[in-house]
Amino acid sequence: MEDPVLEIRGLGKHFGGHTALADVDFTLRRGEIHALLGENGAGKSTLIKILAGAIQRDTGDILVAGEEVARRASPADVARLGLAFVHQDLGLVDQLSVAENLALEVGYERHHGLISFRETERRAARLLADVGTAVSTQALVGDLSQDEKVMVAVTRAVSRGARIIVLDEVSASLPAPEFDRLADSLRVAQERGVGYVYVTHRLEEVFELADRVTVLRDGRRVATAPVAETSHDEVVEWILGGALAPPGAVDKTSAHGQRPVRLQVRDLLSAGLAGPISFEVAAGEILGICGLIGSGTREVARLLGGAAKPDRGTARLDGKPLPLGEPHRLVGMGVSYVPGSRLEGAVPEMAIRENFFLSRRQGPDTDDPFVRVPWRERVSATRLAEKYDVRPRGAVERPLAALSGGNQQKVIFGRALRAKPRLLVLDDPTAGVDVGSRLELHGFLRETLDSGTSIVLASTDFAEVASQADRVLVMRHGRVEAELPRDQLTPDGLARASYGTPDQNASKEDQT
Amino acid sequence: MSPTSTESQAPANSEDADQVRGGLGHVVRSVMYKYALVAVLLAVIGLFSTVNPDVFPTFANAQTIASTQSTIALLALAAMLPLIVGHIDISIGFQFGLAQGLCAYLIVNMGTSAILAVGAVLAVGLLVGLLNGVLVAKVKLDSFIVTLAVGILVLGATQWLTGDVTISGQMPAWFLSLGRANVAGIPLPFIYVVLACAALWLTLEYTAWGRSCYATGGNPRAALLAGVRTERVTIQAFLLAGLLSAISGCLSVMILGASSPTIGLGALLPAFAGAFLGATSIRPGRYNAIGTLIAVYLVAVGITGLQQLGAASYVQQLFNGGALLIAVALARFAATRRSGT
Repeated sequence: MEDPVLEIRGLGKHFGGHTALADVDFTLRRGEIHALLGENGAGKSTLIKILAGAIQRDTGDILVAGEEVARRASPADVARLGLAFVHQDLGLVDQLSVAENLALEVGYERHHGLISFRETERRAARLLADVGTAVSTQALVGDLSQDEKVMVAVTRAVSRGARIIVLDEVSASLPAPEFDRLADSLRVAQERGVGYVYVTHRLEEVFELADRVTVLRDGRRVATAPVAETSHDEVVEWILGGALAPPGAVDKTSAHGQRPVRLQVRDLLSAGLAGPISFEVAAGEILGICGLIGSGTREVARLLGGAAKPDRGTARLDGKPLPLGEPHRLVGMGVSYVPGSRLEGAVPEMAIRENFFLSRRQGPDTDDPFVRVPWRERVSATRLAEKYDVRPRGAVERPLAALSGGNQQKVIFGRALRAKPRLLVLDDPTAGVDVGSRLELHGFLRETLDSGTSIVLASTDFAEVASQADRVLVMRHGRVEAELPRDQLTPDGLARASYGTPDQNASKEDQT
Repeated sequence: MSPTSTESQAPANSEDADQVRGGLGHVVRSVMYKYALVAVLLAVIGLFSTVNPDVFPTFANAQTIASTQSTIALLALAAMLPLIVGHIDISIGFQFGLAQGLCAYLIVNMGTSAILAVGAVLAVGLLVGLLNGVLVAKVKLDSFIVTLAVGILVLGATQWLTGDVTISGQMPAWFLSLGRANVAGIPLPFIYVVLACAALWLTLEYTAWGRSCYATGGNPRAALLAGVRTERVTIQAFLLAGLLSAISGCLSVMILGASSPTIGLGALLPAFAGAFLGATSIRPGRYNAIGTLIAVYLVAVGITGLQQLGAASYVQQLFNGGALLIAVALARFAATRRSGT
C-alpha cells in the first residue's frame, strides 16, 4: 500500500497573470481512494486537466509508477500510462447495452471474423465481476441507475488497464442508497490495486469512502491528511480558510403561525405524484420539501414553478389562483423559479448581463421597461453581480458559460431574486455547487425573507434543508409522509424520515 | 444551424475558462473579430479599385451595387429573424417570388392601384409568416420541413398566378421611382435597407422583445421558465420574416418594373449566406442585423468586382459559397482559441 502509483511534485500553472496552481504536491498510493476537495476555482479542474494532458503544466513533475510523464504528454500518452478519467457525464452511450459500451473500449470478441455477442457479453460479465459490479451485460445503459452507470464507466477504464482512475464529481446527483452501492463497488476494485482520485463537493462521502484527503485553496495545497485523523469541521475550515461561518449556524427566525399565509396549495396532483398534495406557506417562511431523488420533491417544485402543468388541484398566492403551467403569467404574479438543472436556468452563450434580465418582469412589485438602455442595464447588472458575488468581478459582458457552476447559479439566483418575488420556488438550488457559494446562496435566501417572500425549497440534500427550512414536508414514493417542525430538523432525522423506518417500508412494498 | 457554435464553448463547469480570458490581448482580439468583416470589405474595395481603377471605384458602380443588392439585403434580414429564435425559414425565397409576382400581377394584369397592391402583398406575406409560425411554435413541427413545404406551396401558387412568365407593363411613375430615385445620390432602396437594418438592430439589442428572441433561440426551456413567451416570440419572428420578404418583393418590382418567375429561388441562398456570414461579425456568435448587412454587401462587392474583370457568372456562386465556408471556419477557429483549451 505504500508505493505511490501517482506522484505530483511542485505542480504550477499560470493563466496570464493568474496563478491557477502553485507548488502543489499530491500522491496516490496503490489501492488508495484519495479525495480531492476545494471550492470552485481552487484549482481542482486545472490539476485534473493537466493530469489528463488537456493542458500543459508550467512547473513541477508528474510520475506514474515512478515513470516521469512528459510535459507535453497527450491525452493518449496519459491513457497508455494507466490513467483514466471518469467525468460527471460519464461518456457512456445510453442507447447501447452494457456489454457494447465496454466493447467500445476494448473491442468486440470475434468468431470467424464476425462479432460474437455471446463472447462479448461473457467477457463483459467477467470485467464487471472483477470490480464487484452486478449489472446485466444486456441492460441498456440508459436504463441503469446512476451508480451503476458510474461503475460501468469505471469498469471500462479498468478494462483498458487503468490503475489510476480520476472520478470527477461522479456522485453529484447520486441519492444516498446508490452512493452506498457505488462505495461498495469502488472498494472491491480498490482491493485489486486500482487507485482513485475522488473529486467531490460532498464531505459526507469523503468520510465514508476515502482513505486520505487533500484540500486545495486558491491554487495551493492547504492540507493532506488521512481521513481517520481529521474531522468534518477541520476539512470545512481547510476548504474555506476560515472565511465563512460553518454551515448550520444560520439563525432561523420562526415565522410560521405569526405571519399571514401566502401560498395555499390544494390537492395538487400530477403524473409524478402518487396522491394529492396540500400545504400552506406563510410570508417570510421557508418550507422545505425533502426526500430521496424520485420521491416527488422535484415534481412539486416543477408544478409551482411553472415547468409542469398539474392534472388537478390549485395553488393560490395571496388568495389569487396561480396560473400553473404558464411561466410568463406566474412571473407576472410575482413567482420566481430556480430550476433543478442549470440547463433550464440560463442561456450559457448570452452575456451575464443579459441573463440577469432575460425576461421582462412586469409583476405586482416590478415593472421592467420595454426599452433597455444599454449603459443603465450594465450598471444594474454590475450591481447585481456585486450583490450576489458573481466572480470574476466586473465582467458582466462575458458569456455566462465562462463562469464556474457556482457562479452561474448565483446569476440565476440574482435573476430570480432581483424582482423581489412573492413566492420563490427552488429545486435543489445548490446541487454541484461548492461549499463557499452554497453558503452565500443560502444567505441570499435569508435576506429575501425580510421582504415577506415565501420560499418553497425542494431538495434532496438533507443538510441543506435541515439548515435552511423553517418547516419540512418529507416525501416518499410521491406522497408527503411527514411534516417536521423546526426543532426537529437535523440531517439525520430528515434522512431517516426520507428512507422510512423498516416497518413503513414493508407496508409500502405491498402498494408498490 | 445555431450560430452559437461559433461562440466560445467553455464547458459550464469549467473553472479555468475565466482565467484564460482577460487582459489587453483579449480586448484587442475581440475587437479584431468584431470588425474583421468590415476590414475584409474595405480590403476587397481597395483591391478592385487598384486592379480596375476605371470601372470599379466609380460613384455609379457604388450606386448600382447599393441598389441591386437591396432586395437580397432585406431578404437576409428576413432569414435572420427565425434563425435568432432557433429556427429556419427556407420559404422566404419563395415568399419573395410570390410577393414579386403578386405585386406585378395586381398592378399590370388587374389594374389595381399600386397602394392597394402593395397592401395586399404585405397582407399575404404576413399570412404566410403566420402559417409558418403557428405550425412551428404551436403545432411544434420541425421548422425546416414546415417552411420547405410551405415554400413549395408558395412556389406553386406563384406559378399558377403568373403562368410562370415575366409580367411587365404599365406601372405608375411614382411607384417605379420609389425603387429607382436617388436622394443626395443615394439610391432609395439602399436607404430602406439601412432603415430596416437600424430598426432591427435597435429592437433586437435594446428592447425586452429582442432579448426574448435571443433567449428563445439560445435556450428555449430556460427562456420559457424565466417568463419569456417563447411561442409568441417565435410566431412574431416568422411573421416579420414574411413581412420583410413581401416588402423585398415589392421593392424588386419597383426596381425592375416587372416580375420574374425565377428570381425567388436565386435569392434564397445569398440571403442565407448573408445571415450566416453576418453572425461572425459585430456580435460574433450571434445573428445580428448590422453584421448581416455588411456580409451581404461584402459578397456583392466581391462578385461585382470579379465580374467587371471579366469573370463568368458562375463566379457568383463560387464566391458566395467560398466566403461563407471560410468565414464560418475562421470564426470557429477563433472561438476555439478564445476558450483556451
